[in-house]
Amino acid sequence: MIPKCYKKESLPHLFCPGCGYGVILKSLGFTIDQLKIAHQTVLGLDIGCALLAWNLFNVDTIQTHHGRTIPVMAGLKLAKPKAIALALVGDGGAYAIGLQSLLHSAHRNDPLTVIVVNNSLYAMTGGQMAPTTLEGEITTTTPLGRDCQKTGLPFLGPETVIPLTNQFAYVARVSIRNPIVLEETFKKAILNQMKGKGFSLVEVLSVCPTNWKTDAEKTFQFLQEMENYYRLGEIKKPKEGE
Amino acid sequence: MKREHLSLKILLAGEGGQGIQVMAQILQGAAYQTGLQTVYIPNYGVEQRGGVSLAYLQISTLPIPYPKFKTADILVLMCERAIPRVKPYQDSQTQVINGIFFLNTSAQHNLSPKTHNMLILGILSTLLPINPEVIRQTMKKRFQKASALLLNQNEQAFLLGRGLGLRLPQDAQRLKKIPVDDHRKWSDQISVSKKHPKIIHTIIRRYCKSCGICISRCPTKALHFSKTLTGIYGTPIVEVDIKKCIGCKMCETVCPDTAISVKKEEPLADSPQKS
Repeated sequence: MIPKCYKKESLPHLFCPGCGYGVILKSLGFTIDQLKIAHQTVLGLDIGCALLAWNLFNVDTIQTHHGRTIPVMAGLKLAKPKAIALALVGDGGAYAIGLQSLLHSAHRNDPLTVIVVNNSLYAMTGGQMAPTTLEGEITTTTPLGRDCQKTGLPFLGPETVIPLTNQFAYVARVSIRNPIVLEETFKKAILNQMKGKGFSLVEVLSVCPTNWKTDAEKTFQFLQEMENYYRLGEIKKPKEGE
Repeated sequence: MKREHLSLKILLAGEGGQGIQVMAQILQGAAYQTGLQTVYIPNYGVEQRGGVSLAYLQISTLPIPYPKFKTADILVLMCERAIPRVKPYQDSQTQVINGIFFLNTSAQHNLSPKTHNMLILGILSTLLPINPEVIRQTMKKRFQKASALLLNQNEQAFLLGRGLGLRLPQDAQRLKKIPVDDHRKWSDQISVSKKHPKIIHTIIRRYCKSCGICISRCPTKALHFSKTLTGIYGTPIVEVDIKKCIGCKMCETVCPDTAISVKKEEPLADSPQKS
């Protein structure tokens, strides 16, 4: 089934076979369909594999500098408060080069929905180590596996952001294993923005078969390892009745 | 090939994922084993898969001064999209091996469509001054991590291609005679179950990139890779055994390429309705 807000001319999309973005964007598309917000949505894309979604949707799309999607969307929200701003960022863009943008946006409680796609490495440039690379994971820059003694533990994005947020923030972590939960979480995060309450961050644990060099079965085995380290669930919910 | 100094410029072109670079790497290894000079330079975009992938390979008895070239002696073409990219490298002397012509040959001989590149390598090897046994040994080394079945199939495809290459008249390999198979006109694969409730399972052939996620997630193992049909990337698409399908829509939900849709005519009364 194809979401109604997809641009059919641009299918098949530009992602690799088995890419997690396919599932994430499909769920996002169904959420946009369900909430009927395609006409007012603005999708901001970061540098990285995220930008391959530039022609996938029939919604307004901006592509920004690396790690600067969140401040651009915050600016857009100031200029057009009725727009629904979605920032689609990779783990490198959100937790490495653009971490200050993410932290300040959370601190200001900007009414944005930030979707961070965590696939444990820099995928577009050929699979280099990212802050989110798991301990012992083999990437092109850690051929013997990541040594956490030297490079620190894998970065927990949502847990880092939560102390800066106020009671209106919605922070969750989901995995692409279950697209239905993914859709529900996107819906809650977008609704939090639509109600004008504040910042919402969804980290999605994604897969990268091209750089992990795995087939379908082993891909999901590795995703299980990621799920064991990164705790899934709604980490912070906005307080009811406020 | 009776010249005193041999110098061959080979351009391999195809869809990313078809194994163009693997072919070039194997030939380069075999040429080096034979004691020839060789240079290989890959050329592909950031897409990694799904773009046109080129490999410039030179084999010579003399040292090679520069890795690129303007006209190719042998042009190997594996997909239509590559034609505009390789046209400038063709002149009247260029021998063309049209791999598009052989797209279904592997499947006709009960081999995996993945072995298409080794089939073409077999045809190409008949034009080269390299012992085929050396190429086979290099191939074995290259695929040592792959499964024994795939290695065996690759070797079979290579020998098949070699047989084809020795028999083929040169005229049949010209670039002009390319059968056009427009992927925009590919029909969807629709299967309808006979039992009640009726299940309509549709696979959109040109969207399927053969990632295999639906196959690994199907609860009744009703899905498998096709032996005859290939998708947008020249890789086998997924087919359904409709007798085993229970219409649970798992494949539809997990497909990243929106290639599958499942319709059940009479859904159970207590199942959750999805808008």
